[in-house]
Amino acid sequence: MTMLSQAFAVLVAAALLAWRARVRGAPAGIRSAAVAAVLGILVFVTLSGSWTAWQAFRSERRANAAIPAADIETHPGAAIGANVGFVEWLNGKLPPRVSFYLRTTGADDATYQWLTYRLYPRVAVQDSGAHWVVFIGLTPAEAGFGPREFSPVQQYAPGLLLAERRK
Amino acid sequence: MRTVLGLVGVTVLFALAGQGVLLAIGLTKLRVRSLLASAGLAYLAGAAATLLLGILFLTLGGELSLPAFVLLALFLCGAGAALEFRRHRPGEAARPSAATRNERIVVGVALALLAALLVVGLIAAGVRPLSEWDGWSIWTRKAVVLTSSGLDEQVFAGLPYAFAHQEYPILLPLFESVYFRGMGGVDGQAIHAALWILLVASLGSLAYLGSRFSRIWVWLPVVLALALGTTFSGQLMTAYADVPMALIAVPGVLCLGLWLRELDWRYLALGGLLLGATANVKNEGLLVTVAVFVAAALVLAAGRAWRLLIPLALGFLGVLVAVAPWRLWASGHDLKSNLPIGKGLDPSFLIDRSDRIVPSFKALYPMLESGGLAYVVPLAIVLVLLALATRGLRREAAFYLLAGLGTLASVIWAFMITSDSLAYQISTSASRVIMGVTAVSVAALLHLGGLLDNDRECEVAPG
Repeated sequence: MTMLSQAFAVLVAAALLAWRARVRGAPAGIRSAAVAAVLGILVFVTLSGSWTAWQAFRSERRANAAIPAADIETHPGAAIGANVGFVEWLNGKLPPRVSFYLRTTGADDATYQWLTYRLYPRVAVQDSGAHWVVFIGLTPAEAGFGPREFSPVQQYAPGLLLAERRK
Repeated sequence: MRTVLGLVGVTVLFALAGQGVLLAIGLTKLRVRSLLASAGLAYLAGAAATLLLGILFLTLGGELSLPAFVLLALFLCGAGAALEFRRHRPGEAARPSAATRNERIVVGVALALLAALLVVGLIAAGVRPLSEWDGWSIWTRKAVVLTSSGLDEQVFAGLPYAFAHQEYPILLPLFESVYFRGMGGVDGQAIHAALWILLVASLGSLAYLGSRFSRIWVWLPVVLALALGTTFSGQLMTAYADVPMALIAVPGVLCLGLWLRELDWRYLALGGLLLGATANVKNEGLLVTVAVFVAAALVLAAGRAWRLLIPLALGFLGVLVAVAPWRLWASGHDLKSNLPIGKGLDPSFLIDRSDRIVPSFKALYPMLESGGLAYVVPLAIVLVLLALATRGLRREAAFYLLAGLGTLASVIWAFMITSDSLAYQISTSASRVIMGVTAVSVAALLHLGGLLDNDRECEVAPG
């Protein structure tokens, strides 16, 4: 089919040039011929790849349509290697539209960015005194928080925690 | 169902708003055929007009809600139609067509194939999930926030979100957020269909503008190149801003070129609007815009056309007004950029960084000759050289040459002054930042191709 689309491209280019020559009714000058060549190349280069493009669109559509609906929302995070499970866990724990302080070692940028995207409209704030604190890669003690600052500290996995301040 | 309705509804409203703009400046007619033919250009003009006003609302503390967007689009449409109705200008004569039956069949099949490919592309785009890092983390993130809470300072100026390049212009996020509001919520798949519609609109705008000064054998290949160049569609689906910026820039640059040729204020007005939008999509868009206006000023000055510098300056003033709201808001919130513009204008700083010029050029050059861009840059160079050798076309040729070189120089300048390492900059963005040069090249191909196609007339035209 690729060869067919290449042949078709030549046909289209030929038709356009023939049409043009008929309208002009005179032998083409160098500029005119060069324009014709440029346009012919453009037509060939683009149309000859049309079958490949068609197939690419169809195969991409099939592949993407096969992604389960439940995975679509978390796909961006999964695609960059973020800890999607941890973020979904937080998504179920944090109340809607609260703000939270995010404490991280800076080693897991993917999870940091995905978390701040996925949890919105819960907003990450700079205030370390926020009611909710999320820890990535360290514990409250390692981050310098006192042992009695939080009531429940829930752990998803070692170094991945959600802490709520005492009321 | 709501998703499809929202997608269609917002698209129609952008087109209606743009038809109002085009009717107001007299670039289309109140006739079904004219309105259909200009639909692509109308979509771009409508998106530019409504979103630039939307940015102004946002920076003043307001919001571009769905009702506000609908009212704004209908107002622009109604006002433009009323202006056109009052003018009662006679329609332009239709161009005679001179194709044989067989030629019509082959070209008709090509157009049908293009349409089919665009539909298949649209269907594929509509189910593609967000995947590429910066696509969702920078651009769609901001669209999500604009949809939910407007210009939320906690995100747009908050330190925890500093990684998201908060200083980047917000026209693309606002474009996505209008679609999200229309669709009833954030849809990471359907938003790719909206981006695809932007591509189709850009193709339509080139066909419409091209058909005003060239024959189908000139504009159709250029439209095909933009439609089927694999780099364009591939990068567009990453949901990054580079290709959307180029899609708006191409007709904008072309309009400025058309103004230089025909001195018709309508092209300058439309070019200013589209380039103002381009400058609000990406920082590189601002560089392209400055480069093309400077190029236009230089060719006018070289031709001692001093009086024409005044309308050009007014056009550029319009661009500055379009750019100002976001720049002032960003400056007021002390948003830092990785491009230290002040240092970038300091000669000693530039000399210190001059060792970056050659590696930057070497990294960008292979991108420009890529087959994925359908070779539009080298082919445009061929036409520019031919036009430079043609009496009567030198002004336009020099404009596109200077605009292309200026845009390339501005990208290299940005690579020189960025606070990031050059290796990082090249590896992450070299394939994308060439979109400005590509946009100028596509506009040059169409305009100069059309002018050179009438080379007999050019030989006798005054220089």
